[in-house]
Amino acid sequence: MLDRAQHRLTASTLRQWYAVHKWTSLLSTIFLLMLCVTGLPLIFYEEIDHALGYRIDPPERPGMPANASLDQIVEAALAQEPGHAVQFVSLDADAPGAWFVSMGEKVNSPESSGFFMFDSRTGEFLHQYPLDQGLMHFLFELHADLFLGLGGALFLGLMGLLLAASLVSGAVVYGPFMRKLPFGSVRFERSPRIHWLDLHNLLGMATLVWLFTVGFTGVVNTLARPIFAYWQSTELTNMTAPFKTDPTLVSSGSAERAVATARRAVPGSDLSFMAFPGNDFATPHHFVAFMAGSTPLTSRLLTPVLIDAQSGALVDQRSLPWYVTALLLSQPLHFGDYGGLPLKILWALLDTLAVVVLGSGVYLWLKKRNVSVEARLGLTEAASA
Amino acid sequence: MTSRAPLRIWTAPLLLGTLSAIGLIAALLSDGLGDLLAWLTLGAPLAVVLWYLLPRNQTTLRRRVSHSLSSAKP
Repeated sequence: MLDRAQHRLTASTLRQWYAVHKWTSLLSTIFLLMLCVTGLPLIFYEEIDHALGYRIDPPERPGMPANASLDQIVEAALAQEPGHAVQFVSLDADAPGAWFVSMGEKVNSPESSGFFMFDSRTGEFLHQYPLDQGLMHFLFELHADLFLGLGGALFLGLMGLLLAASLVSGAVVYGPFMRKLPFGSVRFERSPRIHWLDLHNLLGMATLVWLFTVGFTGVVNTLARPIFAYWQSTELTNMTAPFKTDPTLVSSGSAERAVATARRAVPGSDLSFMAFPGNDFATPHHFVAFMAGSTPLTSRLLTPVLIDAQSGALVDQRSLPWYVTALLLSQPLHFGDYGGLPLKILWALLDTLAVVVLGSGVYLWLKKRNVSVEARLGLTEAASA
Repeated sequence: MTSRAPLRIWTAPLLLGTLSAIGLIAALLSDGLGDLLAWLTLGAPLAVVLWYLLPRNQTTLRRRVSHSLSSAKP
């Protein structure tokens, strides 16, 4: 029996916490299982795309500097898709020796029409990435928004919040349950329900902080589009307000010169990506170069630099507001892509344990829907005898 | 024994949670050593789960419980 004098949780508050755990779990489990199962291969997105030939490495050219003209690369990309526009150029710290060019039907089209890799040393065309196809792309869309766009993403974010509530309430009911059991007890010799309950508790506690982190950063990621939209409509608009009445740009100007300006403006950093004039991340008259730092932490953060497209002169640079920084930092913590292959493997193993926690939770609910909370938690004499 | 129950119950979960948190942050702050620390600390919960799933360790656990319960009976 519960000894109320010596225990902070009375039977009725325990029952309430248990109800929170049950209902938040029941409402979200099917979606969380989908997220865990699709998320497992997504941890190895890059490796799998590599193996399938969707991605390639730029060839080794030891000692050869990245001297190819970015403007010539932009020309070459435009020749690949005549009539289309370059939306972004980008660099990838994991693929030195390559420039990436992202194209769209128009410079501000929401959809990409092509993604190309060029050699940054010779300027030659290396690879065209297949867009919107393949198993990994399908899994990614399902995982990110259920193929339902922003609404789907926000719905999955809500499921992530239910997960957080389920984890907190689960930890609260774990305490009284473990009063007579040492940590790690799994009573294999008892009924399947008891031993799955023990496993649910052990695996739930082992994965608690990781699952909470991945779940919460997943929620933040579902807000990516609203966060960038808000940044564009406030900070970026503010940065570019003085140039609103300037005449429309005839040609987009030199990208090469713009990148050089940005590199000079933010010492010790390198380009992450640069938006072309007319894109939603730039202005009609400016390139916006997003510079990444060189330490493990600052390489995740970006400094936007505004460059006059016509003259190539530096116009303004800002640090990103806290909400964009939070989004950028939540990405590695969700993807697990920031500690080499061993971290990805740990991510996969912890994800697998999370599947077992979710699955055993459903099993326990199906098995004992008509048993009292105390008995379910093993607190009555009958259950613990 | 009852008054010390929360300590007994929460020591292992708090330890595993703290290790996980250290690992999650370490790899973000430093490459090399930070990554290595993350592999060890995030590997700890997995190692603990594996250890407790060995039947031999469950038997040891059970023996210790029945002993401590019988000696703690009022």
